[in-house]
Amino acid sequence: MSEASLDADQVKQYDRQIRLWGFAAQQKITQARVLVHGCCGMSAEIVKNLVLAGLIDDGVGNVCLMDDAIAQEQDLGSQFLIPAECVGKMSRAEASIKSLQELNPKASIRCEKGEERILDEALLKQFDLVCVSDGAPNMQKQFQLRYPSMEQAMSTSWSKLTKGKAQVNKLFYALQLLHAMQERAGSSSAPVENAEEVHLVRDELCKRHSLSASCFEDDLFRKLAMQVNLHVSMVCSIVGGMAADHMVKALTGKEKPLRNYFIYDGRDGSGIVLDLGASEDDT
Amino acid sequence: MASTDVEMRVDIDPDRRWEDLYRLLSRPGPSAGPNFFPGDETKELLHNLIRVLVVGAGGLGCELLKDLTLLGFLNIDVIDMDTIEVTNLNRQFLFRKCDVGQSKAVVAANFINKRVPGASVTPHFCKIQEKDADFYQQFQIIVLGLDSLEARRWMNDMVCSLAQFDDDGNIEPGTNIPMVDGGTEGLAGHVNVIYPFVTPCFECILPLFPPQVNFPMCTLADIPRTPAHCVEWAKQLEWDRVRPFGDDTDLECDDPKHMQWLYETALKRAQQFGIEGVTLKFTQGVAKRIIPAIAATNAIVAAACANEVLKLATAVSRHMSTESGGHYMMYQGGDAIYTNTLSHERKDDCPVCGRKAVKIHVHEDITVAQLIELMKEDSRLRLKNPAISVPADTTSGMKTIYNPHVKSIYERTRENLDHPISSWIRSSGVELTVDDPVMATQKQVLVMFS
Repeated sequence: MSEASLDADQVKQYDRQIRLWGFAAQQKITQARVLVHGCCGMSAEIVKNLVLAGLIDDGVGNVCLMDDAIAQEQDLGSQFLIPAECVGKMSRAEASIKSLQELNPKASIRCEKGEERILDEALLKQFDLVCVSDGAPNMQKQFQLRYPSMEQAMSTSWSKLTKGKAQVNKLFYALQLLHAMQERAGSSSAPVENAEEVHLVRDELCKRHSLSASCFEDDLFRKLAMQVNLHVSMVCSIVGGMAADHMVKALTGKEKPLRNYFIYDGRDGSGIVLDLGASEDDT
Repeated sequence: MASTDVEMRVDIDPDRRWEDLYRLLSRPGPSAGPNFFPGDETKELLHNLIRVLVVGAGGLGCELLKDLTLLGFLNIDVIDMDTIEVTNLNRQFLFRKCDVGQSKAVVAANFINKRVPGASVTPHFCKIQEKDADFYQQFQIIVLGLDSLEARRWMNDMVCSLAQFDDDGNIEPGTNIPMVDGGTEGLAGHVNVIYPFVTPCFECILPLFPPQVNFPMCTLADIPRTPAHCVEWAKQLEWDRVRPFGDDTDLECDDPKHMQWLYETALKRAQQFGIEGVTLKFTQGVAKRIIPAIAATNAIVAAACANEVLKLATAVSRHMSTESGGHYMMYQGGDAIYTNTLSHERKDDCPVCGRKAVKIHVHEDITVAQLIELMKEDSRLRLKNPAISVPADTTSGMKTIYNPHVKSIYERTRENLDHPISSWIRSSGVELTVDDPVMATQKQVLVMFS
């Protein structure tokens, strides 16, 4: 834990956060390698917060952006890294690089094409942390801190969640139903309209998890379905800010990141933390 | 470059650009407030009619300007008296290395105006106290991104003083301007929606914030126990005694030479008493009252504030209030995540929004100086440096008892400090008029003799 590895400029610039988490943690942050898959408004917030925290290029590269979708006008409403003049001309990943680089000239920021490669082990091995948004439900990634893998968490029995004091937010069930519908349709942007189909999938889920149908509110689900792919800048900021915070905790080992699923409801400003996929021998 | 920008503005289809926002604003829903009118009028209100004031262009301010303009608020004023420092750059992302030394408000406004097509952010590089009621009255919503209790108290008093009442004692609609007060510190923060004379004002909840740690003089002067005592001794006592850079040179914490002197002096004292922990960094932290700060907490709290501003402006959903479950949200990001939204109560004898005067009970014999100390320490007043006057006996004017703010009056009235207050207040129940730096307007304090 010494000052020698950060130069005088960096010590000064990061003074306010070094006072919070110390030099050793700041060191770990500077060396982090992060893959960001999907460059929506929320990812923009996450990567902004990480880059500002002081990633520094040491030859291996810090940030890699992957998103082949072409930047659209609609993105301007929440993805503040994309300048207006890039709309229609390049991918969201490419369009985000310049603004990001300006926030921290010392960080190495690049983009890579071929977002389907997210499932490629060889690619993932190059990074300390992977941030995935907008889909990719089949991803698996083991984290250093012995958290359940994504698959484990998602397939956990929901009936276990209602044990104990924690009341599982109905929003969680609505979200799972939405994901199930999207998987059926094969796309995360498919509109969800057919009420019969919705009820069918809902009943399947209830059977699988031994839950009563009252966990699902039709009204809530409809509202959620209407807001699919709706990106509102302040929700991006809040969830993005929290995600970045916990990424820093994971990288620095300074404190435990939240375990392991967080939902934010902007209608009333509430948030809920769920522990999914835990088994008895997890520490 | 400028002409390209203008072309951009013409080319961008507003319905595409604001598509997500308009989806929220175009349909009513069960969460909408009773005053929500989906459709074009609300969009017009948002983009063209509403004026928002952002107080502070620092950690919260930068994030607020981004969030609000992306949400469609295109007419914003921002006020900040500070210039940009290197230590701001880990979170105040509208600023670059080359901007160090320039006005935060000006640089932030320029950045946003260039980046967000159609945005019109007007900067004010000055103290909040340099603006008057006419200025603040122009805005429909005020958002605070401040870093001190004092500045919050002043803004709170100014905004509350703008409210007008009809003959029945009801508020004239539109004269009580809602304030969204955000604050952050390390991994924690809060959002408080203040609707003057409806919710508690900031002064009502002042007791929630512990008074600033002021070490007793005897500890500083005689036997220090902690490294902070040593730094405060150097800052408050030794500097005045030694005047290391000349009799006329006051301590400037931003001057590296002064800070170096403070550090060396504090270190010597610490070594003298066997106290460890005095480093240059520590000295800076204590002397400048540095609060640790990161980007993420500011992003979260500012966004929550922007959320409330959108709701207050358009009624698209219910804003934070006592009726909706709480007007005060606290956020803790240290140990996993914890948030809680709650309500406080208005204080009857709040000096800013209260319905009763603040009464203080004193003995007839106390001196002016003692009365002033009382008003500084009284938890209902917590004044900083009050000037006091009473109604004059014979005329309808006021008689100044003591005023430390204007040099000539100070020279004339300082001798009054040792006189008994009864020289001016003959009987119990007289109202003193008080002027204090933490208040934007004068206050009345009722003096009762016990």
